Amino acid sequence: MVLVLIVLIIASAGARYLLIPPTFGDKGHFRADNIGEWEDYPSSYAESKACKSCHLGKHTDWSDAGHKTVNCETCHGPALAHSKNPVDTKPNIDRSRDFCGRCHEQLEPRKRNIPTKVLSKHNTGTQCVSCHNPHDPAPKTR
Amino acid sequence: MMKMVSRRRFIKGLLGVVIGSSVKAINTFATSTSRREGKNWGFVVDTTKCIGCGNCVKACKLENDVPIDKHVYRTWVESYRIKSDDEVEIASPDGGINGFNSVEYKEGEKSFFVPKLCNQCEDPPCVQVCPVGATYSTEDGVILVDRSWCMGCRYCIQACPYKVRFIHPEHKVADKCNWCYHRITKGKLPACVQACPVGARKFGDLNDSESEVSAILKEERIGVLKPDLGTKPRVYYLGLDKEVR
Repeated sequence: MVLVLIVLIIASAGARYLLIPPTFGDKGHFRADNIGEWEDYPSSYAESKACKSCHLGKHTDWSDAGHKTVNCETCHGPALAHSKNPVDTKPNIDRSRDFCGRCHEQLEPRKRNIPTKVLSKHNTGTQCVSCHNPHDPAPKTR
Repeated sequence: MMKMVSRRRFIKGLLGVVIGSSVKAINTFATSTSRREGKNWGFVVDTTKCIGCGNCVKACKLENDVPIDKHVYRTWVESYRIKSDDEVEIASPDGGINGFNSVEYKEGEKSFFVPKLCNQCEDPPCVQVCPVGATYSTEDGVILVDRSWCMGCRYCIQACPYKVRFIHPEHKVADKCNWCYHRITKGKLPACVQACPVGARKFGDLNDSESEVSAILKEERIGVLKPDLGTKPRVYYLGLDKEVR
């Protein structure tokens, strides 16, 4: 009887050693190493301040204009790769009316917050960027 | 007689080991669910500012490698239309990643956008039900999923009352928003907050009385989703309509 119990205890300790991964239980009922693994997860974004060193003119226009609350990578997409290798990787530049419409198409739930237009009636056939500089969007010509 | 005593001692010793291990297990579980010193992250969604552009949804997918063409979302935007007869229409085409189309509205109707994401509940049902300890609450208040330990049983997906969890199409394990844990632990904002052009998403440390989120919680009228469930969400909503679930 005692021998059986000893064998069972040794077997369960062995199974526990083999089946439970390292650091499981160190900080709770989980694998503690996983916190560091998530902290080390790679980011794709460079942040707007990283754009300034090469694109000073556009950064200056943008930082004092109507789109100053819109970060560079909101329109241009993640640019960490571009900031590390500006020649071979280029960020997205979408000049389509649909792209501007994501924010500026007149929708009932968005009526209060920002300038909107019914794009199907507003200067159709013309790109928005013909009149609006995206970095300083107040129209220069009417 | 000698044999009896040694057996009794052995059984007593065995009981001691079992009870000791149980107490240790209970203590570690209690530690894992209690709030620690240091950061206590909080998230505020201002529904009165959201314009439904979907840039947050797109940024989230790009930052966290959630396949852009699959119908799974760590965060998404819903549009609400409340008709004059109190009928509620909720839409979220492709999670709102491409924005929303214009809809004909009638007089007396109310409409608004509501971004959704993981609430990082203080009492998270998903953590309770995970049979293997693959999802857990960090000491700074974020629920993480251990991809190498999750076995994809979907129990947590079923348990989450906010339906924020899904099976990642490539990793084949449970996935969900973790407030971009890799960014916030380096002093950055979550990708969705960074991408929001109108400041409808705000993030910060609730233990820092100077943070914007602390000021909002202190001064503004806020709500949380499904408060009756007692999950204690850490995503706080400004301008939350009673029809939002």
